Amino acid sequence: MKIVQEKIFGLVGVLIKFEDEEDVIRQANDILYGLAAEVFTQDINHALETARKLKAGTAWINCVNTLEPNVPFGGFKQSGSTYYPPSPAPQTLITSDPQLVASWENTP
Amino acid sequence: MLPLSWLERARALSSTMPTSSRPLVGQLTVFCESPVVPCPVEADRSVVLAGIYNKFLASFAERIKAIKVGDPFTKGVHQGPQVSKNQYDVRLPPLSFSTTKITVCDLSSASCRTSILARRRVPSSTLVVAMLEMKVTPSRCVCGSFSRPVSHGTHQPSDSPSPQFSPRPS
Repeated sequence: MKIVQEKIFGLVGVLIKFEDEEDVIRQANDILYGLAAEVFTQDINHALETARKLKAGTAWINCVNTLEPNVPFGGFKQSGSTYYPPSPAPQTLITSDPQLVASWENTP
Repeated sequence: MLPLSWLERARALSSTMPTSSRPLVGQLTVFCESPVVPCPVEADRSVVLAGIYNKFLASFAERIKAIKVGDPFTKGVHQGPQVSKNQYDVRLPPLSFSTTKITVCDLSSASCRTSILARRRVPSSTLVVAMLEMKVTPSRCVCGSFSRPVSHGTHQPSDSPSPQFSPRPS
């Protein structure tokens, strides 16, 4: 759906159902942008496994917008072409896994 | 300038500061360098497990309905209105005026387009916004800087780009 794949930049929230892990990865990555993603779950192994498969610059686990100064910030696809602050090896970062930031305090 | 890492820049900055203010430098650098201010992260898609979907939807709707929109200076209000009648009335006249100006120039001047867009000083959308605000004409695009308004008194429009905007020698 267009509303799911494109960014509205408005006060609109879209809720999508998923059945299994393959399904959630497919639906989460089926978008033009990839700046950040959040995974909320009680199973931390599941969270780490899922977060690594997301095509997003930053993947937060059980937290949102937790920006760490020592973690590069950037995005995949149309969300940007580089990481900020600039890294000595940005190419490695762009093609590697998302930067993971996890919080153990807000576990649902 | 050499591509310094964030840590190296922080160290460089701290070494230039007086000793008394050094403990603050780390925080200050973090604030300036981190993308907190322009951070455009906005969660608008949630992929929810089918088993808890209905429960999540009810809880989500309840939370959304609790958001209070109104005067942002009033206590308890989460956010101000996106558009108000006052803003619309105040902003529209200059906006419509600028739009006609943009239609005239519309980056149709080839020299303007090549000298600015080819150098990628600004993305085209930012360029249009800048033009909206400054009401610039194509000749001024070529010669003027987008970081500040062009002075109208002493500026002489010219088709040849100034050294400031001339393409870099390859």
